Amino acid sequence: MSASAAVAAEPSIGERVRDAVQRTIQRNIKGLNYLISDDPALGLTPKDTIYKRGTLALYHYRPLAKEVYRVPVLFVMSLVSKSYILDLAPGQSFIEFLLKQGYDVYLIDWGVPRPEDSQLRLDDYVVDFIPDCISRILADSGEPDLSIIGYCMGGMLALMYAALHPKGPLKNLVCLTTPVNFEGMKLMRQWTDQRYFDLDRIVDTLGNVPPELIFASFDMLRSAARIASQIRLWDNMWNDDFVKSFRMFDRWAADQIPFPGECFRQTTKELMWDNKLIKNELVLGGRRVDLKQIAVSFLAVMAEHDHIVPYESAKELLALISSTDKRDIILKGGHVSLVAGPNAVRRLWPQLDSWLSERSI
Amino acid sequence: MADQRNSSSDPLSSWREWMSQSETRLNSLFNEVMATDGYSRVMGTLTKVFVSMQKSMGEGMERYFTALSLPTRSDVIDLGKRLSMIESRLSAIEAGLGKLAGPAAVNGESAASGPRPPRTKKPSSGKGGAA
Repeated sequence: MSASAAVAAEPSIGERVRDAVQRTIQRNIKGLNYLISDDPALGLTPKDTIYKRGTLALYHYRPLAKEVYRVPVLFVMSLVSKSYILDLAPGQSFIEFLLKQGYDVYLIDWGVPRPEDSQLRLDDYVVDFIPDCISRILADSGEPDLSIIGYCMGGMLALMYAALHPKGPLKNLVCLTTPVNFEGMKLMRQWTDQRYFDLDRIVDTLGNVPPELIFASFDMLRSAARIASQIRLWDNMWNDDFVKSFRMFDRWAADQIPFPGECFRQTTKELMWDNKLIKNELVLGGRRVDLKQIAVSFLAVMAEHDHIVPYESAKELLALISSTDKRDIILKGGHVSLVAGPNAVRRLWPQLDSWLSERSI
Repeated sequence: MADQRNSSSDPLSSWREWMSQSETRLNSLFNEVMATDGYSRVMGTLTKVFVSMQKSMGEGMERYFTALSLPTRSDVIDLGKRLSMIESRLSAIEAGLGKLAGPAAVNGESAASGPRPPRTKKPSSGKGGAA
């Protein structure tokens, strides 16, 4: 482009002032609307509850394709986050994307633990709930095997399940931002330092760990982000797409759920302090979780700027399992933007589809 | 080109850049502070105080509610446990009835959503997911 053309393309001072004034007016009008309007509805992809057990709900999403891959897909969510991050608005829903690509999708939603659920341990989730749901999926789909996609702590639960069930029916395992080496979670480890963190007193007194504590600990990992995000929201208040996206993510981030007390105690003691998962020393339901037992097709996806599950805590996953068909991918983005939002639409979703489709027949 | 035009035309672009850099710097600074033993000790002490307060308040409320013949938190939790047990029993009965009635009843709710598509889909040729 010539210098004269570049000068012509440059807006005049008058245009700049006009843009700035227009945006300021829009910010005020839409800012008021933001304050008085309700949060957007999320998790609306049509689904059926095929099984309920306590707070657990097993969903089957209604297919959106004329034919589907033979192997059903099960999402396993984290215990401390709501599952609708995987099913935001239409066009921004990971689950809707997979349905449109022709997958038969199921999801385990752990629900919000009740006070009486404080006795639940990792053993209950890995040895009882997940196998129970899987047997129902196999009965519902009529297929002998399935794929599992685990997100964050859900990936860890799926990993433990896979290690304890090497003879199937698992066919493919996808772990998204899944921690395996807890020495890599430096800040979390420091905060739960055995010398100062009175874990037993917290669990014995509170039962379930309150969601406010979970929210605060995630928030503290990026202390300045909350204020900066509010300033960015004001700056972009004129932009409807930005505001819509902000509200969805903000609602989800603040919508934490309690952590079942005994599970928190076990996770902190055996994983955070003793790092037993990577050492193959964790025992669930009387059986040792040996990651070398995992031989299914395996995909690990990590986020470059993940502040919750740092790369250091997830990078060794591939080396720990026996699968010959295994691969890891490091994508740009953070813990949440890996699975939801515009970055996920461009990066993770197509790559996951590409990997999983060939293994779903 | 459009992006260049937008950024150069926006009088606040330098401020935005400064804000992003400040956010990164502040996060690093706070993380350094929070990674110290001193911070963990203070947080640990504060948590202990909070939990102790919570415990004595809970015990006080429990006595107060008992004196007024009102259900306490532990009563409600016990009730919740009994309801959970009833739920489990109902689920087991439902599953048993489903088995007796055959596969159509087991998949009753899913069947209500209409016929399922065939499980015959093959990956399109453009997809290459091999490791």
